[in-house]
Amino acid sequence: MKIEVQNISKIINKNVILDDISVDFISGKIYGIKGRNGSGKTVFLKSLCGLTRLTAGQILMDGKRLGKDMDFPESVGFLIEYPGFPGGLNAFDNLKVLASIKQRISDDEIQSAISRVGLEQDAKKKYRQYSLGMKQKLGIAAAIMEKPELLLLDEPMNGLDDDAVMKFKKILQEEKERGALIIIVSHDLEELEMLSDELYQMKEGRLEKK
Amino acid sequence: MDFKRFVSIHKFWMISLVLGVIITTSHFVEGVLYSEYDAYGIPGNAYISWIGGSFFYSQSYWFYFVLPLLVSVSVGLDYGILKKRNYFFQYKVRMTKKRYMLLQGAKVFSLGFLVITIPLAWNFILTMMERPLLYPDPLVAIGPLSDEIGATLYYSHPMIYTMLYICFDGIFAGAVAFITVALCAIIENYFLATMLPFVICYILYTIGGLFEDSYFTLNRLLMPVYGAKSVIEYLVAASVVVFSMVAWIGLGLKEEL
Repeated sequence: MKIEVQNISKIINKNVILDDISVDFISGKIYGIKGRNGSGKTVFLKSLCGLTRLTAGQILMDGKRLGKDMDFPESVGFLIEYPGFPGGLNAFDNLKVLASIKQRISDDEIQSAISRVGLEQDAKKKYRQYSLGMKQKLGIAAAIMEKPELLLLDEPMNGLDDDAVMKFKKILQEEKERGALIIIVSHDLEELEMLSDELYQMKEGRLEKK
Repeated sequence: MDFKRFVSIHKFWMISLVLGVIITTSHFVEGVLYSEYDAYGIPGNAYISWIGGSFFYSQSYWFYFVLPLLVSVSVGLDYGILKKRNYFFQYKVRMTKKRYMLLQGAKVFSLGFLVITIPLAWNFILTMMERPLLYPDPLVAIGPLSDEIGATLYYSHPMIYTMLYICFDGIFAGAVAFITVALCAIIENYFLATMLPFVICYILYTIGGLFEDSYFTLNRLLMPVYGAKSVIEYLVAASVVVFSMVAWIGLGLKEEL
């Protein structure tokens, strides 16, 4: 998979959120984007998902224009902002609701995603009883369960304990070896340097390679 | 989706439905089960005794008065909470915009439609089991007057008239649901957005009350026994439906997608 971001800009209420960004991403790599709060990282991820309309520019995914040839990327998993699910459902039921839309994966694969993030012991608890870390784990499980070609993660290690961070790093490596294109956004440079193959910095809406 | 998952995602819809059923059931208990005659001393008749048949009992008044609130709460709060949690992002990226729009539209309309028609139908069915389905008598003058639209159908085919009117109320409820969701999409505070349709209806109710016949109040328009005085009232109702669709597509979906 190849993503070509061509001169994209996003302006909201005269504020320039994304400023003429051009960059290419290819499969099998982990890209890190560092930036402080409000630098436009999340909007950039949303634009890669097709969840926000661009003011200018275009995004091509394997030559297809996002928003014109396709509404959303054909195979994408994401964790953007904070993960939110219906509070009355447990981990499996929440993932099952989402998996039932595309019907590409079995119940065993849903269970496997829950185990990979280390939620199997709490799988019967309802979402509203989850801690921040558990919610984050479920968000990651939702992102990876359908084995997407494109994985977009916004501050994925928020609230994770050391054990969960180790598991998450292992998952990232497995996903990378599988051939997924992974983009991680974080304000923590040390964390990104450790995980990424290529590192970028987002500053006032502009993306620069480090 | 099984029942458990449906209930969990549509908690406030279930609460509104239960409230609606409680109001209509209490109407049945007080006005039908423990009342041999109607308030005017007329022997029981299902078409007059059910909750849509008159304002004899307070439950009739309250049900039609809070109808917009039942609908907006039933869709607005669930939608607002999930929107705030970015849950719909997860849905959207797993389908096309067109499919999302169709599914979301069908879901919102159906939820609004059902939350009102189920309690009404429930009350009518209960009443039918207790009271005879006698043809309404135009001489008694409880029912649409001869100059009101649908009066002929009411006296010749009351069952069809009643069913159609329940559907009419359901369509109106579906429109209110669309408006609520559109408001929730553009207003950050989803609680305020949910309350707005009721506030608007209350203002209309108050204005309508200033006029002698208050034909333009929703309570009257939505009650099968009164019907509409003129085509204008149905046109007003139809324009609400059209406006709700435009609001939902133009404002709500534009904001969402």
